[in-house]
This record gives sequence, structure tokens and C-alpha cells, in this order.
Amino acid sequence: MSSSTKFLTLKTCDDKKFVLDEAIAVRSQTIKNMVEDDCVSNVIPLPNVDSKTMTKVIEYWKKHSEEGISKDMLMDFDKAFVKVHHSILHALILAANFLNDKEMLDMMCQEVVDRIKGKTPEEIRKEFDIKNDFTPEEEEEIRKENAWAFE
Amino acid sequence: MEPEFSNGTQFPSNSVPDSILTIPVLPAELITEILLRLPVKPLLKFRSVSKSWLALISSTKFIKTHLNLFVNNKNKEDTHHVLFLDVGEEKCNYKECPLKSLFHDSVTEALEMDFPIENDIHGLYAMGSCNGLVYLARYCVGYYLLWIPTTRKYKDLPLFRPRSEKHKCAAYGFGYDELHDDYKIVLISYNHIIRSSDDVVVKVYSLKRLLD
Repeated sequence: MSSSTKFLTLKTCDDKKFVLDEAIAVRSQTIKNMVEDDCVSNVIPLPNVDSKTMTKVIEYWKKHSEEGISKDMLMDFDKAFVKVHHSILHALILAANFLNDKEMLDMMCQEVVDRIKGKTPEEIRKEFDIKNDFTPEEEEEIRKENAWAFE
Repeated sequence: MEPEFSNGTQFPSNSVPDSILTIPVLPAELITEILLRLPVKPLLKFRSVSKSWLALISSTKFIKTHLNLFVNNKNKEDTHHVLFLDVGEEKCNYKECPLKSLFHDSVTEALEMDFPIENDIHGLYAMGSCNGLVYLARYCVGYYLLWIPTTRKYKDLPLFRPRSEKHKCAAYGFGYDELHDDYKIVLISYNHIIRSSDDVVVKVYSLKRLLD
């Protein structure tokens, strides 16, 4: 480990602290901006991310920062990484968005897309916790407009 | 010495029963980010999820961004399709196949398209296509329309025809004018007997008012 390695302490919304190599933490554009603007004193608060989600994010960052890791290995890692309950997936999307890690956000959004493509509107409402605010007549009307899409 | 990485508490993802997990609500910008990546078919289906999803998916801004994402796809080969008219004895059908398939597959399978209007042997001819819109014409009756195969909808167009009798021949072009965000039809009409360059009429028709 070179002596120039700097470490940052990140504090999640549930008051857990994570100590992380700065070179890895700056995968987050948000943290990178803070470091560059020199507004990092000792602890970086992450008010929008809980520790459970942050643990996953760090796992991803560390793997993607490993030296000499092959493309295939990363692909296998990513494939396994996104296999989580959709509540965790949504939490990771929110975290990636807040931390501004475009690569991770892209991957997570694509995973949601792959999962929902074949679902019915009813299943979508459940997955996204959305209330159906159509009357049955209105819903039927919209369905009829593009009936073939439901085949 | 390397400070220790504090791992926080470990929560195995399967230790919490489904029912007590609260699903984090994604803000509209992230929902948009996700929906933009969906193909047209599920998007049409998801219009009936809720009023806010319907409004989002139907908005002009969403439709344009979605189109741009797909048209400017890095793998152009994935989005380009070949459209051809299969002229039968009593009926004409449109079929399509991915352009990629013609180059890479040993056998290319063409799919019959769900054509929205009656198409007899006098077939509707595709005069041009752009961004998933197809401009069709049935000359003999002077019928023109714009067909959107992905949504299976179409729109009748007014007659674009050379006014003068001596300009009997015409060539059509159909394209998108990015600067004015407008689809346009170019009509070049000429006299097939005289064939002099003085006798060529070029007209450009804007479809903006018709399509908005």
C-alpha cells in the first residue's frame, strides 16, 4: 500500500461509518466534487443512503476498482450483483443517483427494465407501489387503444 | 497501517420477509430514466398503470427522447429494418426483417406486419421511411398516408400531387428536418416527354401541423 493512499470516512443516514480509499470513493461524482472543492474535513455525510445499501455500493466499487480484473469476471460479478429483491434494487438506484455514479445507475436501471418488460400493469403497480387511479372504464379505454400490446 | 474497513451490519437480502419490506419510491426523473429504455410494446401496455405514467409516456418530450435514444443507438444494425411489399394474387402484405439478419444469419425470417388498412392488389407503395414512420401512397386513387408500424397507427395525408397536367411524373422523398423538428415530403415533378431541366418543379411540404 503506497503511503500516499488517502482514506475518507463516509457516514450513512443510520450513523454507520465506512472508511474507504479515496481513489475508490471518487467513483462517486458527488464525493469527487466534494474532494475537489476541498470541503471534506473528516466525515462525509450521506444523508440519503443507509448502511445496508452502502455496503452493496462499496462491494461494487471495490470489485470494479480491482487491478487486473478481466472483463468476463466483471460481467459475472455484475450479473450476480443485480440479483436482489426489487426493494434493494430500488434503494441501489436511489443511492447510485445520489452518489452520481452513472455506470452503476445505468446497470441498475437496465436490470429494472429487463425485469419489468414482460409484466402486466397490475404487476408493475405492485412492484413500484403505485396506486391505480383510473376508473375501470378509463382503464379499459386505454387498454383498448393498444389492445395488441397486451397480446 | 490501513484503517479497517468497517462493514456495517450485514443484512442478508433473504432474511426479511417480503411483506414488511418497504419499497423505496423512485422519483419521477428515475422512473423516466427506466421507462426510456423500454421498447414500444411494453410502454403502450404500461400507459394503463396510472394517470402519471400515462401522462409521462404520452408526453411529446418523452416520445422524442425515446426516439432519439433508439435511433442513435450505438448498434445501428439492431434498429435498422427492411420493409418490403409482398404482392400476392388478391392482397398485398408488408413484411419486415432486421437488416442485421440479412448479413449475419444463414436464414432470414421475414415477419408479416399487422397492416391497419385494407390493402388490395393495387397495393400501397412505401415512398419513404424515417424514424419508424412510413410514407405510403396508392397512386391510382391519390391516397396518401403515414403509417407508424410500432404503434400500429396511421394518419391520412392530404394529396401531394403535381398541379400541372404536363408534369405527369413525380418522385417523392420523405425525411425529418431536425432544425425545425418537422417531417417533410419532397415532391419533384417533371415532364416525362420534354425532359428539360427548366421543366422540373420541386416542392417541399411540411407535416408539422398535421402531426402535432
